[in-house]
Amino acid sequence: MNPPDAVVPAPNHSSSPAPGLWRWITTTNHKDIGTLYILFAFTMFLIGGIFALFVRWQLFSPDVQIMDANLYNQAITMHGLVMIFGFLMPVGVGFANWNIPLMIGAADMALPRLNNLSFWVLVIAFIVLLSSLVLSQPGPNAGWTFYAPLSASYGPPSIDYMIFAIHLMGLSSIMGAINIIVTILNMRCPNMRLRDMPMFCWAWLVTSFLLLAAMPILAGTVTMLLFDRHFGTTFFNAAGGGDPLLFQHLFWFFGHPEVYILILPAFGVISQVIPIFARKPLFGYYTMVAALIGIGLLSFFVWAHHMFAAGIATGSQLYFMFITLLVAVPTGVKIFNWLATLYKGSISFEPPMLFAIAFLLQFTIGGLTGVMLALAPVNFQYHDSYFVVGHFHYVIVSGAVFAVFAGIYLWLPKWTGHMYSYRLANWHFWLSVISVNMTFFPMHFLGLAGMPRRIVDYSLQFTNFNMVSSIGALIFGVSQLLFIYIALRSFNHGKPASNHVWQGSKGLEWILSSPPPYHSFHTPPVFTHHEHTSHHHEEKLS
Amino acid sequence: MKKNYRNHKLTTLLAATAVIMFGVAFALVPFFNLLCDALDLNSINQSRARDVDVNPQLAHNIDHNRIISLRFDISYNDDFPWHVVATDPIMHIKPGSRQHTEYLAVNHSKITTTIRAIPSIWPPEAAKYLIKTECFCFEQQILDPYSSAQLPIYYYINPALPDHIEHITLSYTFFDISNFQPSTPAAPL
Amino acid sequence: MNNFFSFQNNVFLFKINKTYRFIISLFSLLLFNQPALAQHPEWRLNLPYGASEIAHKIYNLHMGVVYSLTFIALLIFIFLFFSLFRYRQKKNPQPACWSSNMRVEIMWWIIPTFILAIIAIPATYVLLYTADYEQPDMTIKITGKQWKWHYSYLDNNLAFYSNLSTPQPQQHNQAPKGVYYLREVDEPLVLPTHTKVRLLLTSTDVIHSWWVSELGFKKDALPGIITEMWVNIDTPGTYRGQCAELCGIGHAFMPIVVHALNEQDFKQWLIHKKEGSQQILQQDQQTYALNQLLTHGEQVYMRNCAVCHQPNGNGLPPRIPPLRGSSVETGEPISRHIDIVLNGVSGSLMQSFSNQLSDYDIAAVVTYERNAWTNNTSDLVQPHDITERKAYWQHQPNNVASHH
Repeated sequence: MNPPDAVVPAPNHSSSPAPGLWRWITTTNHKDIGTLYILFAFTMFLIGGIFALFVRWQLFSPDVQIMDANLYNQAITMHGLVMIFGFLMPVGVGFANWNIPLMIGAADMALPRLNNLSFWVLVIAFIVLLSSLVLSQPGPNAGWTFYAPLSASYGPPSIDYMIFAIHLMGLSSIMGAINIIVTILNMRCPNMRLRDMPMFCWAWLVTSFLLLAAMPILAGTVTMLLFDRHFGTTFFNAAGGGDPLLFQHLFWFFGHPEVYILILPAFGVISQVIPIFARKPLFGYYTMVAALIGIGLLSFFVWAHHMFAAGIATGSQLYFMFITLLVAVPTGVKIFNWLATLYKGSISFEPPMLFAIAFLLQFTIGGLTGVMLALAPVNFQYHDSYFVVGHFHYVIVSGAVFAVFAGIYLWLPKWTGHMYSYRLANWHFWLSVISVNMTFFPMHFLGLAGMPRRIVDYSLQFTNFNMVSSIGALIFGVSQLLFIYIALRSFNHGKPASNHVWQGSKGLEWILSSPPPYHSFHTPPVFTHHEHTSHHHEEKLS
Repeated sequence: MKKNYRNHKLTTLLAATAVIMFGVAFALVPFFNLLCDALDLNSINQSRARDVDVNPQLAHNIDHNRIISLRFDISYNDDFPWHVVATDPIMHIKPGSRQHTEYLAVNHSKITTTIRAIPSIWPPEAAKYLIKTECFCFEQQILDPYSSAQLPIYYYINPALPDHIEHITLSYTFFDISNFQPSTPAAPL
Repeated sequence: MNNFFSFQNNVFLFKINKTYRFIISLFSLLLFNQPALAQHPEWRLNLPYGASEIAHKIYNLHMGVVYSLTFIALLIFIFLFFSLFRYRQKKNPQPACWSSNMRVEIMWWIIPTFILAIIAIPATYVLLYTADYEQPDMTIKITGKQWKWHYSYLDNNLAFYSNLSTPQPQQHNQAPKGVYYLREVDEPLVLPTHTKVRLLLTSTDVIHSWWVSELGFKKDALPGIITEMWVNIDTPGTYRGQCAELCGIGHAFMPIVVHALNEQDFKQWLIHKKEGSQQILQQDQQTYALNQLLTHGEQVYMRNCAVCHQPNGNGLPPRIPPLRGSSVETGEPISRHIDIVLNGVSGSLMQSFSNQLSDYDIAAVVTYERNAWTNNTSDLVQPHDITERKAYWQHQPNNVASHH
């Protein structure tokens, strides 16, 4: 049982997987683990979605509909934690597991056993988190940001479940991030330099470093919270000389990079989709990489823009306002580069492209409301209102989640070897795009009209837009069932996909068969810059 | 043999990286101290510390041209068993002059209670210029049932206080820490 | 878990009816457009212009930013749709193959930076304006508490609690909802117009946030920390808002109502208010009949206790015990019951009400709890019982009248 070296393929020596359930528990194959991550993520997507639908049902009209404030607070907390840590992060890691070895011509991830461990630790984390709802009523109820002292001396015992679960999630993410960094830095096939990598790999390289830097901060913060709750420390308790604001500083020092951990992989996916369907190389490869790194670095210096209304000094409000506005620059560069990629392309509108275009539109809206929120004086009005809820759902749902759909529709034929039904996928797209805007656009109006977030019941003036939003949420929820049907069906139905799948696809993953063999790239592929990248830095626009 | 040599080199490299990163963690402390100082981010905790004057050479020059109004405010956390009043709710003072005021406290409960008063200052920018030379908030206070006490504060405002600040609020939140676990008191603030 | 799936038929019908009404109003909105918007506050979709200089400045900044960002978004969208349409595969089968242009790329690092710098200038100006705390005319301290606000007029020796006054039945669809459902209080904060009022904020338990959008902004109330904001109202009127930071199960039920009076009326109100606290002292010295206490007790209960203990007295076990049939509420001695209301239970959500309610209020609510639901003890507790009990706990009577 020596660790594998470069010549022997994977620890699982047989060329076909072990039979039955045992395969999935013991697997060290990047494709299996990628599949597991994605299946787990979509299970969590459904669970988090059910919490969201209950919340929207409760908010359909102003009265106590189906739950009281006690349950409501648990539902919003769980919705946030499950969607962020259970859906978006794992689905990204699933994409990374499947694609990075294929894109860089590696036999597998660099640390396959660690890979298996990081997945199963994540599963245990969510069993712990979700079981708190049943085993220790009331479950975690302080919101996904669990500000002290509401989560400290005022929190129910179940907060301890949450703390433990967050420790495990952090552990899983850190192991996953190390694995991805090692794979990208060491396992690229001969001839492939860092600057030859597809943008998806770059996005994940930057994201992994963000994960490495940010997750320990969260782990430290929840540990301090645990000590405050049980071991008599007073980090966040003013009674012993601590500072409740310290919790917010620490949380957002993690929390803001976390937001980019969610969106950077989405940028990576979109940067793959657009060149394929515009049949034109990605515009501005180097500025794209620079923008990724710029966003990653800036994310560690903007945290207190979540605290403009919390009573921080005017000087620091100014600093955080200016530096937050700066984040818009590299983000804008990415949008402009995507537009320039489309310009003079030869564009076709397959389902992945539809989702990528919707991403462009909706992420732009989310980004621009982000600029509004960055302005400290107006933020006094926007902060903690439904305007904020609208903003971050535009970025995360109609942005990152749409990128996830684009990615699945792009790579599903490669992964399963079957084409899915365009007709159904188009239905899924149009239902999603209409309902997602119907759900989240009115939230901006609600927030501006004065509705705070996280309230279980509201005054009559907010009724109409809440109804629109709830109806939209129901349609969005139901149309995701259609998506799951489409995806599961393509496992063994549908016409076989060719190796290239798409007319415009370029890159190492597309030279393999669809589906790729269980162990791919036993010997490193022959990589040539022109054939396998969708960008050419040699040629410049004259 | 060659391979072993490479492994050896890698191990050294990784070990060195680990040591350097450990060092970087400590190197970040002064960096963040600078950042937080520049942004007044730790002014809340600063107001709790036994004060060290930021600008001692100015401390004795009384500025006769400015009058700062200082409000002494009281908050009780949760169900607090004492009654506390400030003898001078508002004081108008010249920066640099040594000042003294006090709070009066009565324990109206039937049990001996230990309290701690936590100061907080608004605006946050002013925290480092309001210097408490002696304050009851540096220690915890114990009062027997139905007894009373005078809680003194000796302080001055450093004349380096930025010009635009004319009003300062010094608010004490009183916490009952009789049942606080562990029973040993926290280190002096 | 009680009412998680409780699904009453009449509620359902009511909802369908509401949906139907909603669709009709949606169409009427589309037909009548702007005037309809003005008449229907339920379609309000923007910040209010507000009633203070800060609010006006923030509103203007907000509108300026909305217009300029909408313009930028439109440029992006127009270019996007132009490219999608003009360069679709059918129209343009042969794509270009260039992939970089340094001049263009550097330009779109620089141009957005300039636009943002231009936006930052008015924002900085407004921020510095809101941070000008100097020379206030009066000071009011706002204390957040689960789940009510306490207002203390520091210069006038006047203080009171402000509770949600919407009756519980309205929240459970047992009564028609009032116009200001969940945005009405028993004791509004009264402020004078054309006066620079400094508001100090703090909290006694968790973090709350005081937000009235007509007054321009919100600020957090943090336990152990004092924060400050100021307001100078220019138009008399009633302005409503609510807590904006998740603070536990009553988060949605701690509204803020501000009555802005002109300076003359405000002085009148101050005098009147101080007389009112004398009346409360008198109330505390009277004796009442059972039905008087029950009527008043129900009001006090619904306002102060029903969020946790529920209107039907069943509580929210295990954290919040039921009052119906509990030994405290039905057994002897009654003083045990009174003590819990007076002093609270440490380590639980039950807080001390001795400084929050008058003796009359506490007597009424204790009487109510001992007789409501199935607790038919027919016990009668008078205000003087409460006064005696308070005296037992306090060596020297704390001057609670100033808190009321």
